[in-house]
Amino acid sequence: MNPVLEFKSVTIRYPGNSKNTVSNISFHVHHDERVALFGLNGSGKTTLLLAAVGLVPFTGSIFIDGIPVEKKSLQKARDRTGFLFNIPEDQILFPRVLDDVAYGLIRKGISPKVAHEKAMSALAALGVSDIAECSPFQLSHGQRQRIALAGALVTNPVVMLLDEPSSALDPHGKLSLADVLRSVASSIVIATHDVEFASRTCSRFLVLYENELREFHSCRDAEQCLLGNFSKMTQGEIPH
Amino acid sequence: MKDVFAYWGCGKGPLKSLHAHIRILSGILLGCGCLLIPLQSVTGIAFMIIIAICWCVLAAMPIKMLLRCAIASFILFFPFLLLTPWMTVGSSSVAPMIDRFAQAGAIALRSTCVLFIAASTIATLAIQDVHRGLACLPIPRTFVVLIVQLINQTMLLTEETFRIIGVLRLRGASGVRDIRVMFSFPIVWMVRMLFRAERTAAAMTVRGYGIEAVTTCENVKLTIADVLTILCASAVLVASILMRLRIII
Repeated sequence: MNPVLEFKSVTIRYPGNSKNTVSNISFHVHHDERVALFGLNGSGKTTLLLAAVGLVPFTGSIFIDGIPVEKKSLQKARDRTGFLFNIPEDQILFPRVLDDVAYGLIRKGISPKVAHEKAMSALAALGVSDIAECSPFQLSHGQRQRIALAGALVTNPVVMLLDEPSSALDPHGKLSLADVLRSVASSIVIATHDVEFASRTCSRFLVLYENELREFHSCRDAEQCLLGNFSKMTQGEIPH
Repeated sequence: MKDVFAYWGCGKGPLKSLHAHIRILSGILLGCGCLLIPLQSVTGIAFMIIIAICWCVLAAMPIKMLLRCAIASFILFFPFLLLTPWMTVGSSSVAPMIDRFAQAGAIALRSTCVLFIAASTIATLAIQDVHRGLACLPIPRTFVVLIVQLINQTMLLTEETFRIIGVLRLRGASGVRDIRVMFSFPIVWMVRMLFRAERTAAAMTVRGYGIEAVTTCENVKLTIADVLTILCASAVLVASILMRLRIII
Protein backbone atom coordinates (compact mmCIF):
# COMPACT_ATOMS: atom_id res chain seq x y z
CA MET A 1 0.00 0.00 0.00
CA ASN A 2 1.28 3.49 -0.86
CA PRO A 3 2.18 5.75 2.04
CA VAL A 4 -0.27 8.60 2.70
CA LEU A 5 2.57 10.99 3.49
CA GLU A 6 6.02 10.68 2.04
CA PHE A 7 9.07 12.90 2.40
CA LYS A 8 11.92 12.13 -0.01
CA SER A 9 15.27 13.85 0.64
CA VAL A 10 13.61 17.06 1.76
CA THR A 11 15.87 19.99 2.58
CA ILE A 12 14.50 23.30 3.79
CA ARG A 13 16.32 26.56 4.10
CA TYR A 14 14.49 29.80 4.84
CA PRO A 15 15.40 32.71 2.58
CA GLY A 16 18.23 34.73 4.09
CA ASN A 17 19.46 31.88 6.32
CA SER A 18 22.88 30.48 5.70
CA LYS A 19 22.05 27.13 7.38
CA ASN A 20 19.46 24.55 6.42
CA THR A 21 16.58 24.24 8.86
CA VAL A 22 16.34 20.54 8.02
CA SER A 23 18.54 18.56 5.67
CA ASN A 24 17.86 15.55 3.53
CA ILE A 25 14.84 14.29 5.50
CA SER A 26 13.12 11.13 4.29
CA PHE A 27 10.30 9.29 5.99
CA HIS A 28 6.83 8.01 5.23
CA VAL A 29 3.60 7.51 7.07
CA HIS A 30 1.25 4.71 6.14
CA HIS A 31 -2.51 4.56 6.33
CA ASP A 32 -3.87 4.56 9.88
CA GLU A 33 -0.47 5.27 11.46
CA ARG A 34 -0.04 7.78 14.26
CA VAL A 35 3.41 9.32 14.33
CA ALA A 36 4.87 11.69 16.90
CA LEU A 37 7.48 14.15 15.75
CA PHE A 38 9.74 15.31 18.57
CA GLY A 39 12.54 17.80 18.51
CA LEU A 40 14.15 20.54 20.54
CA ASN A 41 12.98 24.13 20.09
CA GLY A 42 13.93 25.39 16.65
CA SER A 43 14.74 21.92 15.36
CA GLY A 44 12.31 22.24 12.44
CA LYS A 45 9.22 20.26 13.50
CA THR A 46 6.76 22.97 12.52
CA THR A 47 8.75 23.71 9.37
CA LEU A 48 8.40 20.07 8.26
CA LEU A 49 4.63 20.19 8.76
CA LEU A 50 4.37 23.50 6.89
CA ALA A 51 6.40 22.06 4.03
CA ALA A 52 3.96 19.17 3.77
CA VAL A 53 1.23 21.63 2.78
CA GLY A 54 3.50 23.73 0.61
CA LEU A 55 3.75 26.73 2.93
CA VAL A 56 7.55 26.81 2.97
CA PRO A 57 9.84 26.27 -0.02
CA PHE A 58 11.79 23.00 -0.05
CA THR A 59 13.96 20.87 -2.27
CA GLY A 60 13.27 17.15 -2.65
CA SER A 61 9.77 15.73 -2.92
CA ILE A 62 6.76 15.42 -0.68
CA PHE A 63 3.70 13.36 -1.55
CA ILE A 64 0.31 13.37 0.16
CA ASP A 65 -1.78 10.34 -0.74
CA GLY A 66 0.41 9.94 -3.81
CA ILE A 67 -0.12 13.54 -4.93
CA PRO A 68 3.07 15.58 -5.21
CA VAL A 69 3.15 18.77 -3.15
CA GLU A 70 4.02 21.10 -5.99
CA LYS A 71 2.43 24.11 -7.64
CA LYS A 72 0.18 22.20 -10.06
CA SER A 73 -1.34 19.78 -7.57
CA LEU A 74 -0.99 21.75 -4.35
CA GLN A 75 -4.69 22.35 -3.78
CA LYS A 76 -5.49 18.65 -4.33
CA ALA A 77 -2.86 17.70 -1.79
CA ARG A 78 -4.14 20.28 0.70
CA ASP A 79 -7.70 19.05 0.30
CA ARG A 80 -6.54 15.67 1.62
CA THR A 81 -4.93 17.22 4.66
CA GLY A 82 -6.22 18.44 8.00
CA PHE A 83 -3.88 20.96 9.56
CA LEU A 84 -3.71 22.36 13.06
CA PHE A 85 -1.51 25.42 13.48
CA ASN A 86 0.26 25.92 16.78
CA ILE A 87 -1.60 29.19 17.38
CA PRO A 88 -5.22 28.14 16.90
CA GLU A 89 -6.75 31.62 16.59
CA ASP A 90 -4.80 32.11 13.36
CA GLN A 91 -6.92 29.50 11.61
CA ILE A 92 -10.30 30.43 13.06
CA LEU A 93 -11.83 32.52 10.29
CA PHE A 94 -15.46 32.91 11.29
CA PRO A 95 -17.22 34.84 14.05
CA ARG A 96 -19.33 31.79 14.97
CA VAL A 97 -17.77 28.49 16.08
CA LEU A 98 -20.22 26.28 14.15
CA ASP A 99 -19.64 28.17 10.89
CA ASP A 100 -15.91 27.80 11.28
CA VAL A 101 -15.97 24.06 11.92
CA ALA A 102 -18.47 23.43 9.11
CA TYR A 103 -16.55 25.48 6.55
CA GLY A 104 -14.29 22.66 5.34
CA LEU A 105 -17.37 20.55 4.50
CA ILE A 106 -19.31 23.40 2.83
CA ARG A 107 -16.25 24.05 0.68
CA LYS A 108 -16.42 20.45 -0.48
CA GLY A 109 -20.01 20.99 -1.64
CA ILE A 110 -21.83 19.41 1.29
CA SER A 111 -25.12 21.14 2.08
CA PRO A 112 -24.94 23.61 4.98
CA LYS A 113 -27.49 21.64 7.00
CA VAL A 114 -25.53 18.39 6.82
CA ALA A 115 -22.25 20.27 7.29
CA HIS A 116 -23.55 21.87 10.48
CA GLU A 117 -24.74 18.49 11.80
CA LYS A 118 -21.33 16.95 11.15
CA ALA A 119 -19.62 19.97 12.67
CA MET A 120 -21.74 19.53 15.81
CA SER A 121 -20.66 15.87 16.01
CA ALA A 122 -16.99 16.88 15.68
CA LEU A 123 -17.41 19.47 18.41
CA ALA A 124 -19.22 16.92 20.60
CA ALA A 125 -16.39 14.43 20.10
CA LEU A 126 -14.00 17.02 21.48
CA GLY A 127 -16.36 17.89 24.33
CA VAL A 128 -17.17 21.42 23.21
CA SER A 129 -20.58 21.13 21.57
CA ASP A 130 -21.96 23.63 24.12
CA ILE A 131 -19.94 26.47 22.56
CA ALA A 132 -21.11 25.87 18.98
CA GLU A 133 -23.08 29.13 18.87
CA CYS A 134 -20.43 31.23 20.61
CA SER A 135 -17.96 33.59 19.08
CA PRO A 136 -14.33 32.40 19.26
CA PHE A 137 -13.47 35.69 20.97
CA GLN A 138 -15.44 34.64 24.03
CA LEU A 139 -13.40 31.47 24.47
CA SER A 140 -10.20 30.41 26.18
CA HIS A 141 -7.07 29.36 24.33
CA GLY A 142 -7.77 25.68 25.04
CA GLN A 143 -11.32 25.94 23.71
CA ARG A 144 -10.05 27.67 20.56
CA GLN A 145 -7.55 24.87 20.09
CA ARG A 146 -10.37 22.32 20.19
CA ILE A 147 -12.41 24.32 17.69
CA ALA A 148 -9.47 24.50 15.28
CA LEU A 149 -8.95 20.79 15.75
CA ALA A 150 -12.64 20.08 15.12
CA GLY A 151 -12.35 22.07 11.88
CA ALA A 152 -9.44 19.86 10.83
CA LEU A 153 -11.11 16.61 11.93
CA VAL A 154 -14.54 17.19 10.44
CA THR A 155 -13.53 16.66 6.81
CA ASN A 156 -12.07 13.19 7.52
CA PRO A 157 -8.77 14.05 5.82
CA VAL A 158 -6.40 11.33 4.62
CA VAL A 159 -3.66 12.71 6.83
CA MET A 160 -3.74 15.11 9.74
CA LEU A 161 -0.78 17.30 10.58
CA LEU A 162 -1.08 18.62 14.10
CA ASP A 163 1.30 21.17 15.54
CA GLU A 164 1.31 21.01 19.35
CA PRO A 165 -2.33 19.89 19.64
CA SER A 166 -2.15 19.34 23.39
CA SER A 167 -0.26 22.49 24.36
CA ALA A 168 -3.27 24.39 25.69
CA LEU A 169 -5.34 21.49 26.99
CA ASP A 170 -6.01 20.53 30.58
CA PRO A 171 -5.17 16.94 31.66
CA HIS A 172 -8.73 15.77 31.05
CA GLY A 173 -8.75 17.45 27.63
CA LYS A 174 -5.48 15.72 26.72
CA LEU A 175 -6.87 12.31 27.63
CA SER A 176 -10.04 12.81 25.62
CA LEU A 177 -8.09 14.24 22.67
CA ALA A 178 -5.80 11.19 22.70
CA ASP A 179 -8.91 8.97 22.62
CA VAL A 180 -10.39 10.94 19.72
CA LEU A 181 -7.15 10.86 17.73
CA ARG A 182 -6.80 7.12 18.26
CA SER A 183 -10.30 6.58 16.95
CA VAL A 184 -10.20 8.67 13.74
CA ALA A 185 -9.60 6.99 10.42
CA SER A 186 -6.93 9.45 9.26
CA SER A 187 -3.19 9.00 9.55
CA ILE A 188 -1.75 11.52 11.96
CA VAL A 189 1.57 13.29 12.40
CA ILE A 190 1.87 15.20 15.66
CA ALA A 191 4.66 17.69 16.28
CA THR A 192 4.90 17.94 20.04
CA HIS A 193 6.99 18.17 23.18
CA ASP A 194 4.34 16.39 25.22
CA VAL A 195 5.86 12.94 25.66
CA GLU A 196 3.00 11.55 27.74
CA PHE A 197 0.38 12.68 25.23
CA ALA A 198 2.44 11.26 22.35
CA SER A 199 2.87 7.92 24.09
CA ARG A 200 -0.91 7.67 24.54
CA THR A 201 -1.66 8.57 20.95
CA CYS A 202 1.15 7.38 18.70
CA SER A 203 2.88 4.14 17.79
CA ARG A 204 5.90 5.59 15.98
CA PHE A 205 8.20 8.26 17.29
CA LEU A 206 10.45 10.43 15.16
CA VAL A 207 13.04 12.77 16.61
CA LEU A 208 14.57 15.67 14.75
CA TYR A 209 17.97 15.80 16.37
CA GLU A 210 20.97 17.74 15.11
CA ASN A 211 19.36 18.29 11.73
CA GLU A 212 18.66 14.56 11.21
CA LEU A 213 15.55 12.49 11.63
CA ARG A 214 15.77 9.42 13.83
CA GLU A 215 13.07 6.88 14.43
CA PHE A 216 12.15 5.05 17.61
CA HIS A 217 9.48 2.55 18.48
CA SER A 218 9.48 3.52 22.13
CA CYS A 219 8.49 6.91 23.40
CA ARG A 220 10.97 6.59 26.25
CA ASP A 221 13.87 6.16 23.84
CA ALA A 222 12.72 9.17 21.86
CA GLU A 223 12.65 11.20 25.06
CA GLN A 224 16.13 10.05 26.05
CA CYS A 225 17.37 11.02 22.60
CA LEU A 226 15.90 14.47 23.05
CA LEU A 227 17.64 14.77 26.42
CA GLY A 228 20.89 13.64 24.86
CA ASN A 229 21.09 10.62 27.22
CA PHE A 230 22.00 8.07 24.59
CA SER A 231 23.46 5.71 27.18
CA LYS A 232 20.05 5.28 28.82
CA MET A 233 18.35 4.20 25.64
CA THR A 234 17.15 0.63 25.64
CA GLN A 235 18.04 0.26 21.99
CA GLY A 236 21.61 1.28 22.78
CA GLU A 237 22.28 2.93 19.48
CA ILE A 238 20.27 5.54 17.67
CA PRO A 239 18.70 3.84 14.68
CA HIS A 240 18.68 5.96 11.52
CA MET B 1 -10.08 42.93 24.97
CA LYS B 2 -13.14 41.81 26.89
CA ASP B 3 -14.28 45.45 26.91
CA VAL B 4 -13.99 45.81 23.15
CA PHE B 5 -15.74 42.51 22.60
CA ALA B 6 -18.42 43.51 25.11
CA TYR B 7 -19.77 46.19 22.72
CA TRP B 8 -21.12 43.54 20.39
CA GLY B 9 -24.67 42.64 21.29
CA CYS B 10 -24.59 44.46 24.64
CA GLY B 11 -27.94 46.16 23.99
CA LYS B 12 -31.02 44.82 25.73
CA GLY B 13 -33.68 46.73 23.85
CA PRO B 14 -36.51 45.56 21.58
CA LEU B 15 -34.32 45.88 18.48
CA LYS B 16 -32.50 42.73 19.52
CA SER B 17 -35.55 40.64 18.74
CA LEU B 18 -35.47 41.66 15.07
CA HIS B 19 -33.76 39.60 12.39
CA ALA B 20 -30.04 40.39 12.10
CA HIS B 21 -30.23 41.66 8.52
CA ILE B 22 -33.10 44.03 9.44
CA ARG B 23 -31.01 45.48 12.26
CA ILE B 24 -28.01 45.97 9.96
CA LEU B 25 -30.06 47.45 7.11
CA SER B 26 -32.04 49.78 9.39
CA GLY B 27 -28.82 51.02 10.99
CA ILE B 28 -27.35 51.73 7.56
CA LEU B 29 -30.50 53.55 6.37
CA LEU B 30 -30.60 55.71 9.50
CA GLY B 31 -26.88 56.43 9.25
CA CYS B 32 -27.30 57.50 5.63
CA GLY B 33 -30.33 59.59 6.62
CA CYS B 34 -28.29 61.43 9.24
CA LEU B 35 -25.57 62.12 6.71
CA LEU B 36 -28.08 63.71 4.34
CA ILE B 37 -30.19 65.83 6.69
CA PRO B 38 -29.42 69.54 6.13
CA LEU B 39 -28.44 71.22 9.38
CA GLN B 40 -29.06 74.85 8.47
CA SER B 41 -32.43 74.84 10.23
CA VAL B 42 -33.41 73.95 13.79
CA THR B 43 -35.89 71.41 12.36
CA GLY B 44 -33.08 69.53 10.61
CA ILE B 45 -30.93 69.51 13.75
CA ALA B 46 -33.85 68.38 15.91
CA PHE B 47 -34.84 65.68 13.41
CA MET B 48 -31.31 64.22 13.37
CA ILE B 49 -30.93 64.27 17.15
CA ILE B 50 -34.35 62.66 17.63
CA ILE B 51 -33.46 59.86 15.19
CA ALA B 52 -30.18 59.16 16.99
CA ILE B 53 -31.83 59.23 20.43
CA CYS B 54 -34.70 56.97 19.34
CA TRP B 55 -32.29 54.40 17.87
CA CYS B 56 -30.15 54.49 21.03
CA VAL B 57 -33.22 54.04 23.24
CA LEU B 58 -34.50 51.13 21.15
CA ALA B 59 -31.06 49.50 21.27
CA ALA B 60 -30.86 50.10 25.06
CA MET B 61 -27.11 50.14 25.25
CA PRO B 62 -25.79 50.02 28.85
CA ILE B 63 -25.07 53.45 30.38
CA LYS B 64 -21.36 52.57 30.65
CA MET B 65 -21.17 51.97 26.91
CA LEU B 66 -23.14 55.15 26.17
CA LEU B 67 -20.67 57.13 28.25
CA ARG B 68 -17.75 55.57 26.41
CA CYS B 69 -19.35 56.49 23.09
CA ALA B 70 -19.83 60.05 24.32
CA ILE B 71 -16.17 60.24 25.34
CA ALA B 72 -15.08 58.75 22.01
CA SER B 73 -17.19 61.22 20.04
CA PHE B 74 -15.84 64.11 22.14
CA ILE B 75 -12.25 63.06 21.47
CA LEU B 76 -12.87 62.40 17.80
CA PHE B 77 -15.16 65.28 16.84
CA PHE B 78 -14.57 68.12 19.32
CA PRO B 79 -11.38 69.10 17.45
CA PHE B 80 -13.62 70.14 14.53
CA LEU B 81 -14.67 73.13 16.63
CA LEU B 82 -11.04 74.19 16.83
CA LEU B 83 -11.15 74.69 13.08
CA THR B 84 -13.80 77.39 13.43
CA PRO B 85 -11.53 80.36 12.52
CA TRP B 86 -10.60 78.69 9.23
CA MET B 87 -14.09 77.55 8.22
CA THR B 88 -15.62 78.94 5.03
CA VAL B 89 -19.38 79.34 4.85
CA GLY B 90 -20.70 78.88 1.34
CA SER B 91 -18.26 80.73 -0.90
CA SER B 92 -17.52 83.38 1.70
CA SER B 93 -14.27 83.25 3.64
CA VAL B 94 -15.13 86.36 5.67
CA ALA B 95 -18.38 85.10 7.22
CA PRO B 96 -19.21 86.04 10.85
CA MET B 97 -17.63 83.87 13.52
CA ILE B 98 -21.03 82.52 14.64
CA ASP B 99 -21.70 81.13 11.16
CA ARG B 100 -18.30 79.54 11.04
CA PHE B 101 -18.87 78.01 14.48
CA ALA B 102 -22.26 76.69 13.29
CA GLN B 103 -20.55 75.10 10.30
CA ALA B 104 -17.91 73.35 12.44
CA GLY B 105 -20.57 72.41 15.00
CA ALA B 106 -22.74 70.87 12.31
CA ILE B 107 -19.90 68.57 11.23
CA ALA B 108 -19.22 67.55 14.84
CA LEU B 109 -22.93 67.01 15.60
CA ARG B 110 -23.56 64.99 12.46
CA SER B 111 -20.51 62.80 13.13
CA THR B 112 -21.59 62.29 16.74
CA CYS B 113 -25.10 61.22 15.72
CA VAL B 114 -23.76 58.78 13.12
CA LEU B 115 -21.33 57.37 15.68
CA PHE B 116 -24.16 56.79 18.18
CA ILE B 117 -26.32 55.13 15.52
CA ALA B 118 -23.42 52.88 14.50
CA ALA B 119 -22.62 52.03 18.13
CA SER B 120 -26.29 51.28 18.87
CA THR B 121 -26.50 49.02 15.81
CA ILE B 122 -23.41 47.16 16.98
CA ALA B 123 -25.00 46.91 20.42
CA THR B 124 -27.97 45.09 18.90
CA LEU B 125 -25.77 42.60 17.02
CA ALA B 126 -23.81 39.75 18.56
CA ILE B 127 -20.67 39.26 16.50
CA GLN B 128 -22.01 35.86 15.40
CA ASP B 129 -25.11 37.57 13.95
CA VAL B 130 -23.15 39.79 11.58
CA HIS B 131 -22.24 36.99 9.18
CA ARG B 132 -25.80 35.62 9.03
CA GLY B 133 -27.23 39.11 8.76
CA LEU B 134 -24.98 40.13 5.90
CA ALA B 135 -25.63 36.85 4.07
CA CYS B 136 -29.34 37.71 3.99
CA LEU B 137 -28.77 41.12 2.44
CA PRO B 138 -28.73 41.47 -1.34
CA ILE B 139 -25.04 42.31 -1.57
CA PRO B 140 -22.26 40.48 -3.45
CA ARG B 141 -20.86 37.44 -1.63
CA THR B 142 -17.31 38.71 -2.08
CA PHE B 143 -18.30 41.82 -0.17
CA VAL B 144 -19.78 39.73 2.65
CA VAL B 145 -16.61 37.62 2.92
CA LEU B 146 -14.56 40.79 3.02
CA ILE B 147 -16.61 42.48 5.74
CA VAL B 148 -16.78 39.35 7.90
CA GLN B 149 -13.04 38.87 7.62
CA LEU B 150 -12.40 42.56 8.33
CA ILE B 151 -14.40 42.30 11.55
CA ASN B 152 -12.82 38.98 12.50
CA GLN B 153 -9.26 40.13 11.93
CA THR B 154 -9.89 43.51 13.59
CA MET B 155 -11.09 41.71 16.69
CA LEU B 156 -8.03 39.44 16.64
CA LEU B 157 -5.66 42.37 16.22
CA THR B 158 -7.42 44.29 18.99
CA GLU B 159 -7.06 41.25 21.22
CA GLU B 160 -3.35 41.06 20.37
CA THR B 161 -2.89 44.80 20.97
CA PHE B 162 -4.53 44.58 24.39
CA ARG B 163 -2.29 41.62 25.23
CA ILE B 164 0.81 43.64 24.35
CA ILE B 165 -0.47 46.60 26.40
CA GLY B 166 -1.12 44.22 29.31
CA VAL B 167 2.43 42.91 29.12
CA LEU B 168 3.84 46.44 28.96
CA ARG B 169 1.86 47.40 32.04
CA LEU B 170 2.90 44.26 33.86
CA ARG B 171 6.51 45.00 33.13
CA GLY B 172 6.12 48.48 34.55
CA ALA B 173 6.12 50.38 31.29
CA SER B 174 3.37 52.74 32.35
CA GLY B 175 5.42 55.08 34.51
CA VAL B 176 7.42 58.09 33.38
CA ARG B 177 10.67 56.37 34.46
CA ASP B 178 10.19 53.60 31.93
CA ILE B 179 8.81 55.75 29.17
CA ARG B 180 11.52 54.50 26.82
CA VAL B 181 9.68 51.16 26.72
CA MET B 182 6.71 52.96 25.23
CA PHE B 183 8.83 53.90 22.24
CA SER B 184 9.38 50.23 21.49
CA PHE B 185 5.64 49.56 21.48
CA PRO B 186 5.00 50.48 17.82
CA ILE B 187 7.87 48.24 16.72
CA VAL B 188 6.74 45.30 18.85
CA TRP B 189 3.16 45.85 17.75
CA MET B 190 3.95 46.11 14.06
CA VAL B 191 6.15 43.01 14.03
CA ARG B 192 3.52 40.96 15.83
CA MET B 193 0.76 42.18 13.55
CA LEU B 194 2.83 41.31 10.49
CA PHE B 195 3.61 37.83 11.79
CA ARG B 196 -0.04 37.28 12.64
CA ALA B 197 -1.12 38.46 9.21
CA GLU B 198 1.36 36.07 7.64
CA ARG B 199 0.15 33.14 9.74
CA THR B 200 -3.51 33.92 9.07
CA ALA B 201 -2.83 34.14 5.35
CA ALA B 202 -1.15 30.73 5.55
CA ALA B 203 -4.15 29.29 7.41
CA MET B 204 -6.52 30.76 4.82
CA THR B 205 -4.47 29.18 2.06
CA VAL B 206 -4.48 25.77 3.71
CA ARG B 207 -8.19 25.91 4.49
CA GLY B 208 -9.00 27.16 0.99
CA TYR B 209 -10.79 30.23 2.30
CA GLY B 210 -12.85 31.84 -0.43
CA ILE B 211 -16.27 32.86 -1.55
CA GLU B 212 -17.81 29.58 -0.29
CA ALA B 213 -17.17 31.01 3.16
CA VAL B 214 -20.44 32.94 3.00
CA THR B 215 -23.03 31.26 5.12
CA THR B 216 -26.41 30.61 3.57
CA CYS B 217 -29.41 32.73 4.41
CA GLU B 218 -31.92 30.45 6.06
CA ASN B 219 -35.52 31.05 5.10
CA VAL B 220 -36.51 33.90 7.35
CA LYS B 221 -40.07 35.01 7.91
CA LEU B 222 -40.22 38.70 8.62
CA THR B 223 -42.28 39.69 11.64
CA ILE B 224 -44.47 42.78 11.88
CA ALA B 225 -41.78 44.43 14.00
CA ASP B 226 -39.20 43.73 11.27
CA VAL B 227 -41.40 45.29 8.59
CA LEU B 228 -42.27 48.31 10.75
CA THR B 229 -38.64 48.97 11.61
CA ILE B 230 -37.46 48.80 8.02
CA LEU B 231 -40.37 51.01 6.90
CA CYS B 232 -39.55 53.63 9.53
CA ALA B 233 -35.85 53.58 8.65
CA SER B 234 -36.69 53.93 4.96
CA ALA B 235 -39.07 56.79 5.77
CA VAL B 236 -36.28 58.58 7.63
CA LEU B 237 -33.98 58.22 4.63
CA VAL B 238 -36.65 59.45 2.22
CA ALA B 239 -37.45 62.42 4.48
CA SER B 240 -33.75 63.27 4.68
CA ILE B 241 -33.43 63.22 0.90
CA LEU B 242 -36.53 65.42 0.53
CA MET B 243 -35.14 67.85 3.10
CA ARG B 244 -31.79 67.89 1.35
CA LEU B 245 -33.57 68.67 -1.96
CA ARG B 246 -35.61 71.34 -0.13
CA ILE B 247 -38.84 69.70 -1.19
CA ILE B 248 -39.99 69.65 2.43
CA ILE B 249 -39.07 72.19 5.12
